[in-house]
Amino acid sequence: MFEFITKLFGGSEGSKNKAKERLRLVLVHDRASLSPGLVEALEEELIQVISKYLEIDEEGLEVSFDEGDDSVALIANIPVKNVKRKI
Amino acid sequence: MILDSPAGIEHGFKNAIAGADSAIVVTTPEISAVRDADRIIGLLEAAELYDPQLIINRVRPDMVRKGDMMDIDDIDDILAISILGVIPDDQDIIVSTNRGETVVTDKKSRPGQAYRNVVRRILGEEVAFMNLQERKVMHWFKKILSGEAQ
Repeated sequence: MFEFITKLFGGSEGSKNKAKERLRLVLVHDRASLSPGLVEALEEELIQVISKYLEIDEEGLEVSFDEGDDSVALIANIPVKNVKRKI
Repeated sequence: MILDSPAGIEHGFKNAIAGADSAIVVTTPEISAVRDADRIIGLLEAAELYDPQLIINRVRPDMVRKGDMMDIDDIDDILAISILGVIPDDQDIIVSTNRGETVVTDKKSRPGQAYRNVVRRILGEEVAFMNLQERKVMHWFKKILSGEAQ
């Protein structure tokens, strides 16, 4: 009832902002999980960069996205074989 | 040639875009539809079909006015692709499909006008977006006053 009255007097913002907010969140998740090509390209470049400094186990490298309730984190697990003394 | 792709992201979609030079994505201003449109845009990019254009179908001006439906700016903000047209939801569509007529040829119909605008934009003309906020009666009056016969 209260909602109806506030709506009647233009006090409420309408539901579209809620929709935008929900969409934004859902799209962050979608975009992070949708493109396997992106993850592969990222992995490849990570290997290149890290290999300049460390000797790593390329086979054991794992890259994934960890999706929380309202955030997305990039998790990379990179086994190091040896540290290079000289760059 | 324009090829209508089946809804969804399954085989039909992949077949439809196999020979395409460019793509037009059609969505409605609802969360699930915009979400699907975003996935489709991602898949189009993966298939090297860049810069697709967007048509927003079934927009309800009364709901947009009340702030209960996302409008052109909101969707542009979220999907960030160029918008080719906005089609108002209208009972004309149901009536004309019942009769087996195309709404595009109905000179008095607002969605018909919106579709014609889309066609003109595809052909390279610059056409301003229809003012959906305007009430139907006003639109009708304006048309009479301006003596717009088409």
